[in-house]
Amino acid sequence: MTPTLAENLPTAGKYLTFALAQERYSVPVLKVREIMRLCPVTPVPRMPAYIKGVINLRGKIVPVVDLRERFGLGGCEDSERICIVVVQVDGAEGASRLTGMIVDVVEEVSHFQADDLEPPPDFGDAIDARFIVGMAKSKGTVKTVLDIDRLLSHVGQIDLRAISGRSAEA
Amino acid sequence: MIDPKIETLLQALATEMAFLAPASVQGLDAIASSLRQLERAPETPESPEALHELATALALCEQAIGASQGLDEQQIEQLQSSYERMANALYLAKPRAATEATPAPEPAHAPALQDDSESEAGALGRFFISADDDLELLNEFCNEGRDLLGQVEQGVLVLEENPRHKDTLNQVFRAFHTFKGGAGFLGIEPIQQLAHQLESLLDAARRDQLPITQTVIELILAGGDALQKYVTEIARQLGGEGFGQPIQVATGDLLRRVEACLLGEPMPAPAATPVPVTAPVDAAAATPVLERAPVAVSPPPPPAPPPAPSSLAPTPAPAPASKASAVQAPAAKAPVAAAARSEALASYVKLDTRKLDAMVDLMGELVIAQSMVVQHKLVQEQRDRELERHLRQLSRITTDLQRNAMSLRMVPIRSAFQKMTRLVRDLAAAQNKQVQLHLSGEDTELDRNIVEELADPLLHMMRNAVDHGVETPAAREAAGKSAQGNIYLHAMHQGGGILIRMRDDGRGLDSQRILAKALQKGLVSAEETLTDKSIFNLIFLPGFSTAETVTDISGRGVGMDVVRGNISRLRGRIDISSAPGEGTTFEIFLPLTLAIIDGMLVGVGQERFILPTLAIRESLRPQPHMVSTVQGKGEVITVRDKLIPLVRLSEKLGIATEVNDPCQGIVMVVDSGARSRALLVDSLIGKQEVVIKSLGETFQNQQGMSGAAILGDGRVALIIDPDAVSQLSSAPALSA
Repeated sequence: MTPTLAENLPTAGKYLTFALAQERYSVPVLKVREIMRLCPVTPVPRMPAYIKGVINLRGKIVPVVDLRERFGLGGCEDSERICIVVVQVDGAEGASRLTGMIVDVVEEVSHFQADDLEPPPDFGDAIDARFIVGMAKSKGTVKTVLDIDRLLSHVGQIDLRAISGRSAEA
Repeated sequence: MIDPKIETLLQALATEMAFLAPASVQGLDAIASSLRQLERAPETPESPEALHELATALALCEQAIGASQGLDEQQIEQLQSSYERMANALYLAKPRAATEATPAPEPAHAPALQDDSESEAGALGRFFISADDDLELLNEFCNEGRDLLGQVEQGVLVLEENPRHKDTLNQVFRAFHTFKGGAGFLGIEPIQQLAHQLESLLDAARRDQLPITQTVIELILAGGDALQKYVTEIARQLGGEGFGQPIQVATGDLLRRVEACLLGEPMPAPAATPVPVTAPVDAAAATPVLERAPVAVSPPPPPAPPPAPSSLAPTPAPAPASKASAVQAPAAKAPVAAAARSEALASYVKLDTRKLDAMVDLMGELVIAQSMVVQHKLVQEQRDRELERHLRQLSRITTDLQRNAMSLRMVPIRSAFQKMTRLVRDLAAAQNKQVQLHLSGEDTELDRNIVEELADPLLHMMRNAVDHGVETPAAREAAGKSAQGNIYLHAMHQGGGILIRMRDDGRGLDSQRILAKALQKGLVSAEETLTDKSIFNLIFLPGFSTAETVTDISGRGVGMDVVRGNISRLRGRIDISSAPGEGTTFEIFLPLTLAIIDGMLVGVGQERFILPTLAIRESLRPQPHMVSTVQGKGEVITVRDKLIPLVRLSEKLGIATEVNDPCQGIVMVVDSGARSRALLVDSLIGKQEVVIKSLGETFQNQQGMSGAAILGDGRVALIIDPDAVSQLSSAPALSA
């Protein structure tokens, strides 16, 4: 879409794949700190709906983002397999912190070859592709590789209208 | 009477001699050095015979060391008899101070020697510490001094590589400056003087008026070493060793060289070949000994000049007699006092506060984990005595550990209070008022951060008290009070927090004048009827000042609102009471620590929140007759004839609740700024101490919550900021 995205092409390596509704998303496995079962989340008032609230991760207060809400995929059904994937987000000022993402199912950790990875296609105005670094073809399915830092570093400050009402159908 | 220090030296000598083996240099060094110390020690009694024997023994040792073949048996015997004669003479001799009145005949070579050493070591900076000094402050000075000198040394290492490094120059400059300040505060003139000179040196350097050459670096190092010696000596004496003895370091030469360096003159010929980077005092004392040694072997040895310090000290040295008494008097009681003192003066370790915070966090976790184990249903079902005992033991240890961890961050409020003493004196002098400051409860401990944050508000309040509160002596006398005004500053524990009370016996607040001023500034409207208390509270509004003239002390109207801001940031509150002619009292309530708060756990809908207990005035279940609706202004509740606006937390936070009638819920009356507000919650769950955690940058834009805490069941509860939450507009219902 823009040159910067091409430069940010994801590198080959291990990725964690998870599912949201019918879609598959991947994040670099090195970013993942922990995968835990969905636990009670304390809501923080006056926050956008996709910010579920905070949890206690061994004494640390960690914000939790509902990725379904974030991508406009509708609320999630209750399921035993819903997980919180805790990832490390590197902020703009070099500060890193933990953020939890609620996902439907964590599927697998797989190795993506450089050949498997492609820059994101031009969606035009159809969806907000700011958080997509590329697409990966592996085992016959297409996975969207997310830029976690961009996706989560400004959680709580992003203008909600920019993404609301659009769907991320690929 | 023999000085204990000399006695120790003599005993050490005797022991060393007993272990001397023929034809071996082993032990000789130790003997020679003890002899030199004895020769140098200012306490050594003046006895020509003793000095003669001492010189003989020393010469014998040095000869043997020089030849590196040791003494034969005959020489050892000779040495031992020399020692015995010397020891006898020393024990018999009167303390030096008494003999000094009749000076010993000047030895022939003495003038030369004296010139020599004077040009080398120069003047000695000396002073005493006595039991009258504030030993705790001295101890703190030493601890701080070591840090500062460490910084200087680090800085110099950088400067050697990169002489123009601005930050480092500034850092070293500040270190010396702080050192000077500390010494000045304690009235230790020699240290102050030296630190001042070094500071000037660095000041010149950082203004680019003086290039940092090797010479300058060596001067800085030598200066640092001299200061280090002072610090070490003070610390040693504080530890109970030789308490009350003069503390002296040769600084005269150093001072001269620094001065010359500043004036851009060439160095005054440093007598000792290389610039002595090591402490000058060593060079000074050692040289005469070395020079005299060969002379002294030949009989008859001239009575050696009195040890260096007494003849060389041009510092306005106290008269010998008084000096001696200064040494002796405290020395007598020193052994007893010393033991107690070294216990009282604890040593410190500097720690990164983040480590402390991490530890406090982990402690919180431990407590929660422990309570989870104890409350686990399997454990609860057990009826095993031993298990119960173990669990009790566990919880006791956990509690102790937690209390300990919390106390790590606690420091006495003393430092904040003591700054006020000086301030009040200066302010009072500037305004020709007589003010006496009475401090009490300085040992009350609270969180380090709070003590630091408290400095500013206290400063403002103290200025106000001196400027506006206390009257001039004439006015006071006219009012039938003593000419001297009093300000009482008191700290104490109260209800799990801390109460700081500042009371003056000045003219008190003039409510009419405050009201008039507030009307004039448009801060209140004329229709409002206000109680005295709410009028007093007006002085906390920004831009309020009743002083007719703006002095450089106060009156610009930036004081009291800053005070209140600072205090509410610390999650505390401030109260005023005042009576005309009798004075004003400020009461500041603060939590003990910023890391933990005492909170009320309240329920709103399905959620639980924590309200800081300190902010809560009272909580009650309103009766129907207390609630009334005011058009345009919403709901108000009448508590003891006071109308308080009602704030529904569920509305503000967008939480669905079934409690819509205030009479079904609980109302918490909180102070929000100068006004009260009543927060409506569904239920009161309990009171709990919680560790405050930040919500992180994700939530930096949210308002109404000041943090989060982890409850006993491991879940997170948010801490409400009562001030901010009442300012919020109503939120749409949260979609869960």
